Amino acid sequence: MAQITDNFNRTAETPLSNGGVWSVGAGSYDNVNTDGAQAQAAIEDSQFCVARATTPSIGNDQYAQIVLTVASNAGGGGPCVRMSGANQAMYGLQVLIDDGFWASTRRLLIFDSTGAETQLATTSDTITSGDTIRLEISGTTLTAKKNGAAFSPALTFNDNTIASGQPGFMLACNTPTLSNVEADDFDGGDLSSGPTAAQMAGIFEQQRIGSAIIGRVDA
Amino acid sequence: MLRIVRTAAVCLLVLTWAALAEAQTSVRYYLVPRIGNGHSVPLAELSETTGAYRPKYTDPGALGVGNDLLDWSAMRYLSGQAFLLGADVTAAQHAALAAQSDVLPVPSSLEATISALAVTSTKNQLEAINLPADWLDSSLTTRQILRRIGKFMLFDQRHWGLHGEALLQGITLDTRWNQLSNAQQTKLRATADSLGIDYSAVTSTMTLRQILVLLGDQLPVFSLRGNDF
Repeated sequence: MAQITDNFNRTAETPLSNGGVWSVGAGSYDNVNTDGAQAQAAIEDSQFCVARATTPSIGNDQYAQIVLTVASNAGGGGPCVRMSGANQAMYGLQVLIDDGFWASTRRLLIFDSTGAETQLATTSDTITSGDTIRLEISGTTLTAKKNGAAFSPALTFNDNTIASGQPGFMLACNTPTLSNVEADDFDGGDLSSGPTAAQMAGIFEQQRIGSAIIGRVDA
Repeated sequence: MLRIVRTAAVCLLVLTWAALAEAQTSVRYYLVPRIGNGHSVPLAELSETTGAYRPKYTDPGALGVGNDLLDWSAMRYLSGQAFLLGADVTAAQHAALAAQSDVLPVPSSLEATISALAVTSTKNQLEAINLPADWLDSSLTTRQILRRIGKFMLFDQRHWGLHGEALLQGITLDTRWNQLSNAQQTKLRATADSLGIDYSAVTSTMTLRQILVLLGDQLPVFSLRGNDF
């Protein structure tokens, strides 16, 4: 099960690269940078800044997730799946925390190879800055989640346009202070069954505790 | 005094029940036109000719005060610049949306057959947005009709994704296979191949509307707003 994770905890990168793992910007999009701890939009603009994880190759049924921290009315972003091509065609989950600046603040979009956006779903569910937001695609079905559970009402749709690609994320910052919109703890990979890295860490921890208890009993 | 209190309590109960009934939502489906220009803009600049492509009537205020559609999912049909919209709607939202002259509301029961009276008008409305409808008759349930329409859309979407053009670009539903250029035939085959669809039964005199039925029906079940089609 292929997986890509990045906590951005390294020397600041302009643009985000991590040794060539990431492909940023391209087409009608701007770059993503890092500040030594988190990822940020490269410029203040309502235009999207995007990053695609290029290696390892991820299967067509995949997920992407980020922890999104956003100041009120500063913009937003979200995870993307099946990102591909010179113009970054993709499916994207976009969540914004704002005061009514935008028409839709929790929506699913498809971005064509031309860069054109089509809005295909919205939900009245809300998010909080710091939530983990996730997008999954299985076959032609896209499902958005927050903090491990599906949005309620559901944020989902069906589309057949983009068959393959890689996971990634997008950010848009409407204010001069780029740290007002930040992504952290990116996680993307195959959607096939199997535990995530975080779940594996939990399993190892349980085994460690279990071994320690057994050891005590034996003693 | 007791009677007044009792009457007030009953009135409050009735009003509360009415408010709850009004707010209760159900999933309904509609065919609606596409609006926008493919590029997001702030709410203040949003109009029918700006913003991301999206189903008409999903913008704030589009259906009147208190009727904004908030929870919805849609499938796009690029050849008809239209969407199959599935939305969680209240009775008031449904009434407002169904009253629009450019909206085709789908009957609420997915298992009921379409009324004989509605067959012709439904066919006309589907054909008006380039969806083949000559196969439609009163023996079909709403679910069966939506299943076929949705599969046309899924085929059209993949064609767009592969070739950057709508399936019916420069041709019509009545164009025959042998009237397509070699390049058009190659693109159609590539779309079918990418979806694992068998097109060996396509003959040279088949029209595109016949081919779409043949190919689309091979696509797997899809889901929209909680229902499988």
